[in-house]
Parts: sequence; C-alpha cells; structure tokens
Amino acid sequence: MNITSIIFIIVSFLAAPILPGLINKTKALFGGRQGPRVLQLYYDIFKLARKTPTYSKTASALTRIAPVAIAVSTLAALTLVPSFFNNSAIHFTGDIILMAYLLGLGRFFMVTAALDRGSAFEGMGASREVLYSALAEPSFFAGLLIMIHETASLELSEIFSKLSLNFWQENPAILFLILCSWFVILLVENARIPIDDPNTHLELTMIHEVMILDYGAKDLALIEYASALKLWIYSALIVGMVINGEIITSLTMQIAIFTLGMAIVAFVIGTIESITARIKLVFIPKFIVGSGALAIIALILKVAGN
Amino acid sequence: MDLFLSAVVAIFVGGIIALFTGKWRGVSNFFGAFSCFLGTIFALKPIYDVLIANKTLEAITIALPICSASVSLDKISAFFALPIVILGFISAYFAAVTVNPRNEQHPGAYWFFYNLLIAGMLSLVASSNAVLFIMSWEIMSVAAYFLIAHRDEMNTARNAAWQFLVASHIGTTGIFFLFAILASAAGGFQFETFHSSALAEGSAAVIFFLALFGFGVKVGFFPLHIWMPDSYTFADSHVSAVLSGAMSKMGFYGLIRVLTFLPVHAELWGWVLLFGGLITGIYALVIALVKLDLKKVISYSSMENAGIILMAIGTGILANRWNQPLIAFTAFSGALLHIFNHALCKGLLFLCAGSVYFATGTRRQEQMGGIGKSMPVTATAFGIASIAISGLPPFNNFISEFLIFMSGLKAASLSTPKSLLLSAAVLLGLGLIGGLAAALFTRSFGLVFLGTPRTNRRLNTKNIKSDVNFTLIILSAAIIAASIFAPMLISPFAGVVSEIVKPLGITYDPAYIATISAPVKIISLFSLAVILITCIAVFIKSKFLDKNQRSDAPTWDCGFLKGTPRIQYTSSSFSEPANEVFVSVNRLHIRGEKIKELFPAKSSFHTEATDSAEKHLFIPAFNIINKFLIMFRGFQHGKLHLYIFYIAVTLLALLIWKVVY
Repeated sequence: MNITSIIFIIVSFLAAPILPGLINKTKALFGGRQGPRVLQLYYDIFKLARKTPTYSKTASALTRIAPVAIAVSTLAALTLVPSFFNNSAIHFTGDIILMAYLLGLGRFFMVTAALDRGSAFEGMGASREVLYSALAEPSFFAGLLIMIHETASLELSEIFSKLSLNFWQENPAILFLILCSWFVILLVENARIPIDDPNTHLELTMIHEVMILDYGAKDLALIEYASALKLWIYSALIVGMVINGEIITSLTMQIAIFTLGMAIVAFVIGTIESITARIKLVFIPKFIVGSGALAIIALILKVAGN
Repeated sequence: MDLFLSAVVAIFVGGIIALFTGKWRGVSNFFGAFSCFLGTIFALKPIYDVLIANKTLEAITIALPICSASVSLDKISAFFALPIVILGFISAYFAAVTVNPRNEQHPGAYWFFYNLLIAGMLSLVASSNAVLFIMSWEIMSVAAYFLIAHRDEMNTARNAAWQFLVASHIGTTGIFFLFAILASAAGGFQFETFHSSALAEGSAAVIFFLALFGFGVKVGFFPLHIWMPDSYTFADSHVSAVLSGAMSKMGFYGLIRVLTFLPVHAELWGWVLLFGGLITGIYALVIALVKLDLKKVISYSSMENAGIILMAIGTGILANRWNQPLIAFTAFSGALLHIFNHALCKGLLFLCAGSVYFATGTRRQEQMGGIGKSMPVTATAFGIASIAISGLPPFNNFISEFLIFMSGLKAASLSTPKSLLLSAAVLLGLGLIGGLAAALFTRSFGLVFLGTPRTNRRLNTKNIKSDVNFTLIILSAAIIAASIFAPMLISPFAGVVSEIVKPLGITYDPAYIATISAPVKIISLFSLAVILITCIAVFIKSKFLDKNQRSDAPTWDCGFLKGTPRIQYTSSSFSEPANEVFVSVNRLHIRGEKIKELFPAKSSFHTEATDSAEKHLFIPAFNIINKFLIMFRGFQHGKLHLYIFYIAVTLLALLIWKVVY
C-alpha cells in the first residue's frame, strides 16, 4: 500500500459524483441547453442526506440494510482499482475477480431490495438487471483473459502496467475490440443509454431507476453515491487500460492524463447518450452478447496471431 | 479407526432399535436421533486425526462372505466423511424436532432408513475394498430410495423414488463393470492392489468413462441428472439436505477414488469433465429459471454446483497433463473447497425450504411472498445462503469459486492455444454460471421471503419452533465461519489434494499452499471487513440517523391506487426475460389466450417446461427399451409346468455346453 494509491482512493471517494455531472453537461451541450451544474449530484446527495426517510408499509429490514450494503461493497471494490502508475491500494493474484464480485454483491442487494416492497414495477427492473449483468459477465472476463495472456500477470495493476507500448502498436485491433466490449459493459452495468435511460419517466421501460423508486432521503443518497462510484470504477478500469506507464513517467503527468481520460470517458458516454436512442428491450441481450462476441473475436485474433 | 467403525455401528444399531420401538414414538425418536448424534460426534475424532493432525489410522480387516475386506480412513475418505457427519447431525436434529414428534406415521422405519443412509455413506468412504464399496453404495442408494418413497401417499413421491431407484441402479451397473475390470487386472478386490496394477491405456479409459457414467448419475452430470430434481423435491427437506449435501458428494468421492487407481490421466478426460461440467452447470441454471417450485430450484442448483466442481476437476487433470502443478493444485483445492462449501450451503437452503414448507404448506414460489416478516430467522438464513450459493463475497462459496477462477486465470498466462481454451471455458463459463445463479437466487429469496403474501394462505408459523431455527442458525454460522477462516481450511485440504495425485507420481510443492493461501487470506479479510462494516453502519444508521423515519407509506404504485398483492412481480414474470433468451434450451411452452378485444375479458396463461433431457432423450430411449422388452412378456404367463420346462431346457443347455467345451 503506497501513498499514491491511498490518495487515489480518497480522490475517487470524493470526486466520483463529478462524472455524472460531466455526462449531463455533455448532453446539455448537444441539446443546446445550459444544463445542470457539474457538481449537481453533490447538491442532490447533500440535500437527500439531510432528509428523513419514509418507508413503504411493505418494506422489511432489507430495504433499510440494502443501501448501506451497496455502498460498502462498492467502496470495497474501489480499493482494488489500479490508480496512477497502476498501483492499487490492495493487490493480489486474481484481485479483479473479487472486484467484479463485490460489485455483484451490491447488485444482489439492489435487486432483492427492489423485490422487498412488493411493487408492481420494481420487479421489472430487477428481473432485467439480473439477466443483463449475467450476460455481461462472460464478455468482461473474455477481455480480461486476453490481457492476462498478453502480460502473464494476474494482478489487475500489474496487467495494466505491463500492457506495453509494443503490444499497443502491434495489436491495436485486439485492444480496440476489448476496449469496445468493456465500454459496452460499462454502459450495461451503469444503466446508460442505449441499454437504459436514467432520465426516463416511464416505469415500464426502466431498469436501474425503477429498482430505487421507493427510496428517498439518506438511502437514496447512498444509492446515488454508490452508482456514481460504480461508474467511476468502470471508467477508471478503461482509462487504466489505456494509460501507458512507459510513455508517461512522471506522477503529475499521470494524474493529468488520468483526469483527462476520465473526462473523455464521461464525454463519450454523454455523446453516446445524445446521439443514440435506447434500443428495444428485447434487443438488449443480443447487444450484450454481441459485445461479448467482440471480445471473443479479439481472443481468436490473439490465438491466430500466436 | 475403531472409533470410526463404532460410530458407524452405533448409527446403524440406533436405527434398528428405532425400527423396533416404532410403536412408542418418543422412544423411537430418541434412539434414532441420539444414535445419530453420538455416531457423528464420535466420527469427528478420527476425521480430525486424519485430516488435521496428519495421523494414519490402522486399517481394520473384517470378514465378508466372498473375501475379507479392510476398512481404513485416508485423507480423501476423511474429507468426504466431513459433509456426511455435519449434515447427518444437523438433519437428524431437524428431523427429531420437526417431522417425527407430530405427524409421522412410521417413525421407526423413518429413523431406520435415515440412520442406514448415514451409516452406509460412512462405511462407503471408509471401505478400501471393492466388494465392501459396492455393498455400501447399494445400502446407501436403497436407504435413500426408501426415504424418498416414505411419503408414498403422494403419487409424485412414488414416481420420484422409482425414478431414483432406476437411475441409481443404471449407474451402479457402470460401477460394477469398472470394479470388475480393475479387479481382474489387479487380481484382488483390495484398493491397494488396484494402485499397483498395470492397466492398459485402453482399459484405463474404459474405467474412467464407466466411472463418469456410474458416479455421474449421483452427482447429476448432464444428462444423467433427470432423477435428481424430483427426488430432492419430494423427499422431506432434511432428507434432501443429506441427499444433496452428502450423498451426491459420494459420486465425487467415487470418481476421485477411481482416478487414484489409474496410473495416467488422459487429456481427453480433462476436456470431457471440463466441458461436461460447463454444460451441466449452464443447463441446470437455465432449466432452474423456468421452474417455479422452491425445492426444485434448489435441486437444480445442486446440479449446477456439481458442474462447477467437475469443471475444476477437469482443469486439474488437464493442468497435470501439461506439467502445470500450480494450476492443477489450485483447481483441485478449489474443487474440494467447493464440495465442502456447497454441502454447507445446500444443507441450509434445503432446511430453510423445509421450514417454509411447514409454515405455508406449499412449495410453489408463485403462492408465497412476504414470509420474511413472520419468519425472520429463516429469511436471514436463506438470504445468507442465497448470497453464498450465488458465489458472491463475503461468503464461502465465493472463495472456492475464486480458487477455480484463479486456476483459469493462471492458465490464461500460458502460451498454448489449448490453455487459452481451458481458461476461456473456466472464466467465461463460471462468469455466466455465477450471474445466472445470482438471478436464480435473487428470485427465490425475493419472491418467497420479501414483498407481500400473494395468497390468503394463513402462515402456520407455530410449527416453526425455535429448535428448527437453531439448525438454521448453526449452518449460517458455519457458512460465515467457513468464509472468515477459509485460509485455515486450505492446508488440510491440500493434504487431500496431494493424496489424489500421489498415484500419478506427482507431488506438489508445499510452498503452493502459501501461494494460494495468500489471496484467500486477503479475501477473508475483505469478507470480515464487509460484514463488520455493513453491520456497524446499519446499526448506526438505524439507531441514530433514521430516528424520525416514517414507515406507513404505500409502495409507489404509479397512480394505480387499488393495488393488490397480485400486482406484484411473480416468479415466472421475474425470469421471463431470461427464459426468452434461453428458449432454445429450456423449451418453455406457453399456453394462453391473448387479449384481442378492447376490454379485457377472462384470460388464462400457463407455462409448462419439461427437462429436455428427460423429454427428448430418456423417455424415447426407455420407450424403445420397453418395446424391446415387451417381446419377452410372453415368457411370463403364470403356467407352472412351462416354468419347469424352462428350467429343464436351461439345465440341458448347460449340460450340452459342458460336454462340448
């Protein structure tokens, strides 16, 4: 555990809610609006945190436990994300598995809490969420597999730091395919367009938003924060994969490039959200499996290249 | 060893006493349960000695009709005795406090077969002789048959028991043949002679595939699993806990035991186990998602976990072939740890399902809901077990799946295309299996325990005494302990692994234990931290922050004010998106009328799913066999003089055969 990685965790902890703000700014830019402030989510979270929650008569203890559990598991996952110079606070063989499954634990609580209120709608979101994330899992691991194969290391931070410049130059197609498939996973897991629309107002078409319909006050603040953090984690994985330690050697440059990278991810998400429409629900599984196919094509290219 | 044998005998004798004292319910109950407690506690000592204290117990030779057989307890046996002892004890307690005191018609017979099952399994793992092995195997299967058939007033239970009996005996033929081949090559029935026998490579392959067939039936290897869901569903829950947690593990025991007899393990076997396990796991989950019966869902999940374990064993075999001892060691350790963890989880899930059944009188998830409020202990236990069985941290199944994942990750860093294929199968397969398992158990947990009740059925929670909750608490605590103290399990289980590969002439570097313990230690710390921090944060939040909370609001109903409990999402609607994706596998058949007119009229909706393996493979196969066998029906007509004629013809034929040769 070194000082930069601890700083990274603290910075992530504090800065995560900026990402959704950047996405919204980008969308506003495309829409020709001024849009909400970049820091809007902070205001929202602080406003919500001051309020006292109201629960449904049907809600059991799980509804009250779930937001905490979601936040704790997402924070636990954050400690495993590689930081600048691709160090992570805690790293060990196969740490990425724990990271992926800690996020899965958060999802478990989100989904079961949605079923806790006996709502007509929340089950819809829950049932979609579990399917889409189950389908996204293999494509996440397919991308990982190729990178492990290339770098021969099993720690996330080491994998990222060993993706050498040489590999980028020789196999741009493979890395591009992995990048695309991981980006789709980012969109799926964080409920972004074209999978899910965070701004939709129709319960029947929601996925993520519908599961938290009955939350308010502190609970909603925790969940909103955890969602922002999850987006941060996935974005940091994508940025970490692209940033190359061989070229950028100074810490300040690393930090600058990392910040720029996160902003670019937010901008790309915002752009996608602005220029594409949601795909029909029945096509989403095909879309996700398609992204997995990209990773598998990359795998085939890799094997053929050997 | 004496202690272990006396434990087996104590359980058996207790069963017999219970049988003969069946008239006096209390007495029978006492002897049945007490002998089980006593026996399982006795058996713990030798298991501890072998597994943890590294002692070797002296083998005991006992006389059998055909030959003399020896009983011994090596590390593999001791490991597989562990789930039997744990679940045997807990389920006996559960049985003693639930089924028997009240409404059991034949408590004597019940305890007799229960104790026979436990004793049979214990003698199975201890037997180091083929004859004794097959005898114990039969005792176990037959006792299990009678336990499933015990609810014979129900047609479904009779069918399930019959299916179980047929399936398990078809499997047993495979076991007979494989031991026949082994014994003829070795010239004896003792297991030690098998080790030293020189087998041709061809016959080794035959033995392996016979073992996969024979033992595959017990573990639920696709497509040999079709008996499994029904048997587990229609047996009493604590019996299902033993069947799934301990008896199906005997299939793995047999498979692993036979692997130790074979001098080399071919690469093909590894691939068959790997992809067979993968298909088993995914198929089980896809079918489970269309099933609406709580216990059936749990049963299919047993099959899924069998798939994971088979994948790990396959990975181990392949890695051994490729001279990758660390990968093999990781995979085998993962397999063993998963067997142990799955036994705990599955025991807990079935006991929870049992206590839900006592309260609701149904197993249909569609008719449940909101049970958690009146049965908080059961709900919490089921929640813990659901997280664990979905392979999510912070619980134990994640740690064993992590080890299997790790073997796949390590294989990815090798450079051959084959190792990439292995790694892809493990990583992508386990990823999908984990995701679908989470879907399955969020569904069961959410729709059974959460929400509001879907029917007006009165909950009979008086049936759930604190004794029942005690068993659930014990098993939940065991799961949490197995998660936090997982690193301590690695080194005793590593001893078992090295015993498995010893006949191959492979020894694993003792440093490997530290290599794989290192990440496991961190994960256990994570588990502890996540559990503790969540508990503390929830405590603080509920104590200080949520003080003025209101909990009298309705659930958000989107303006639809007259919402009834029936408006909730149901099991079938929850899994509908998944079922649509996998429709080519699950063959879900939907019957119903679509609403055509402007105003909704009476409508109906019905889904039906049969296991494709049963419908398209076994039913046609058995029909063909039936058609063939029906030709011989003419021979059995009840005419005594013709029967005597058959005997005479047979004798004559034998005489001629003797004269000619």
